[in-house]
Amino acid sequence: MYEYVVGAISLVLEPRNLLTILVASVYGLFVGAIPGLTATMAAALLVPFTFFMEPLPAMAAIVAMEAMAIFAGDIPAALVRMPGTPSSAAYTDDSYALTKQGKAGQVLGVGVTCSAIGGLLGAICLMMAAPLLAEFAMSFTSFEYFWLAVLGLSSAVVVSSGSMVKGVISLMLGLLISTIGIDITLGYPRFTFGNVELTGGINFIPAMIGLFGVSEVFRNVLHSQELQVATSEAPRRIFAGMASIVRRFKMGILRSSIIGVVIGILPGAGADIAAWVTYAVTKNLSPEGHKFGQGHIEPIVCSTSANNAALGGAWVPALVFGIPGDSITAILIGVLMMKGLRPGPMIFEQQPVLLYAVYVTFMLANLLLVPLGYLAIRFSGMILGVSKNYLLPFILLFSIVGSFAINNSLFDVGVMLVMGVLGFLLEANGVPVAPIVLGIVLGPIVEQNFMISVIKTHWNLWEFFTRPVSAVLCLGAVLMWGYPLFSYLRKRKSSLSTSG
Amino acid sequence: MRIGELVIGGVAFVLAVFVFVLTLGFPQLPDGHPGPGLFPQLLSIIMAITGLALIGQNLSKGERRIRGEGKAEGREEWVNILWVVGAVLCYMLISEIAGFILTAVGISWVLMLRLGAARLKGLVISVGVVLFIYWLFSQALLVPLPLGVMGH
Repeated sequence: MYEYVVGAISLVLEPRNLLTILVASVYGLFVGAIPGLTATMAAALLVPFTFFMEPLPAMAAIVAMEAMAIFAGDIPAALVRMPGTPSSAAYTDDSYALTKQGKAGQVLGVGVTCSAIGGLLGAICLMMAAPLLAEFAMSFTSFEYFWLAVLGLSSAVVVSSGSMVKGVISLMLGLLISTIGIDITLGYPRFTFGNVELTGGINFIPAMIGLFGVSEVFRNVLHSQELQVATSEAPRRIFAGMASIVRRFKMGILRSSIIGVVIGILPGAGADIAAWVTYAVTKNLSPEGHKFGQGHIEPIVCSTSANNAALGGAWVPALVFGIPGDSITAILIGVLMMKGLRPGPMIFEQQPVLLYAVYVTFMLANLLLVPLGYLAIRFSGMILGVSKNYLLPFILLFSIVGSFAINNSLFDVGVMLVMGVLGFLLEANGVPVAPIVLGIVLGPIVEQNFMISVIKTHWNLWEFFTRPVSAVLCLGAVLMWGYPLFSYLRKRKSSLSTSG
Repeated sequence: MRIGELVIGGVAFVLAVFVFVLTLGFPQLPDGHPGPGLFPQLLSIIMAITGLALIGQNLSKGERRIRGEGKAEGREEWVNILWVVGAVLCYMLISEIAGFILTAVGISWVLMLRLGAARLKGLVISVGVVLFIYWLFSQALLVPLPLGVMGH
């Protein structure tokens, strides 16, 4: 292990990799600090660049970008009461109320410090959990992978925000999109309508750029909002009293980071859900919970730790099983597949140095978050002053060129546009788009493993339920679907008895 | 009742039926078991059921939610969306002929003006950023962006 760590550190410290991490960090801070632009959009627009990079800088760019963007979302939340990314929404009211009391520096200082601590704890959990799970997953066959993917898809629907029916529609759309092209059993072209470009299937990258980049442009040109900055001065005394705040809430930070990691591991649930759940848990446990929402520092400390910790958690299923923990890791899996690297337990045997390099990058990115985050806070006025009238056309242009760059094909630009319109229309009606992404990524895994299994056993479907790990995973999927259904029926019964 | 949700439910149902019908023409495995059509068939059945469920959910909510559904956006903001769609279509249609630089400057500048940016500042920024994007993709990443008339 020692030689892997040394090899990984020297790999990460190569000037080219360091420069990539630095550029991606600045990019993440910029995008995260602009309300309306999400970390997922930033990741989707980063993909065309990662396409031309080696695996390590590609992964390092995504790690650094997401760590910075999730923190940077706190900046406009505190200064203009608009979360830069959905992950900062849970504690926006507290942040803004404290800013109005003249404590913008303290709020953002807590944001950057606790994000870094949460991110580091998340990285430690990733380092500890991933190899253990990978060892366990070595015995998995197509049956287990089938159920694992089903569990991932189920979790994406059940855990994602909004109605479950809408989540299922979104998921089915993603899965159906994944069936376009040559099928794996007979090589039969499905839903291609004689179009040669469709025989290879819908390319994941333009689809992502459309769903997260172009739909964001649509949303922003529709809901243009003037930013009202709560304070005219740049936040000062950012780290004043920080040690005592961290000491006071140390158990809260630890608890929230663990919650963040666990939620991050669940497919479909990312940093934003981690922040909301942590907020609710902290409110219930805190003696001052009744003051939350009016300008209290505790929910900020805990939720901002959780959302950055969730990032490390989301990488666990992505690296170990190839099942994305959130939309960003879904994009990551797409990037790795493009590079011929299939995430899964084998990668821990075949590419140990690369994996250790990812852990080191997580650590480095979260350490870098403190100085770079400090600079972003100091220059927040300048970042928030960038007009979207100038920015949005270039996001669109990057989306077009990024989609084109993958295959040098205008067909992919068309795919991007269609997916952008689709994502916009669905989200405008409360249909989550994250399940579409998971459907596109996991669809081939579900189908391939199912078909391999049934052909192997001559269609003896009992094999799916009689293998011990398979049975446990199947039970997990049943419980995941059963619990919300049971709660719904119980609620309905109690409301009927009340009205009766 | 939300019209948008009803439409999504309806489209999901129709799409599911369409997919199911298409899959009926897919071949079976040599041993007679279901083949390429199996997975999309299962998906289309689930999608049809959820599409109907979404319609049912909305109809059962009745008239209660029709009010208060009004969006703050005006006609102008919705037209902005059409401009964005038009910009992408325009790029797809003319970039091969006019080349990346001219097309990109054109669409980004027009979109900026549409969104309320200053004319000269918008043009200067457009030219600068497009040249940077061209250098980045074409020179650094070796993506063959179309040169069009500028290549002759």
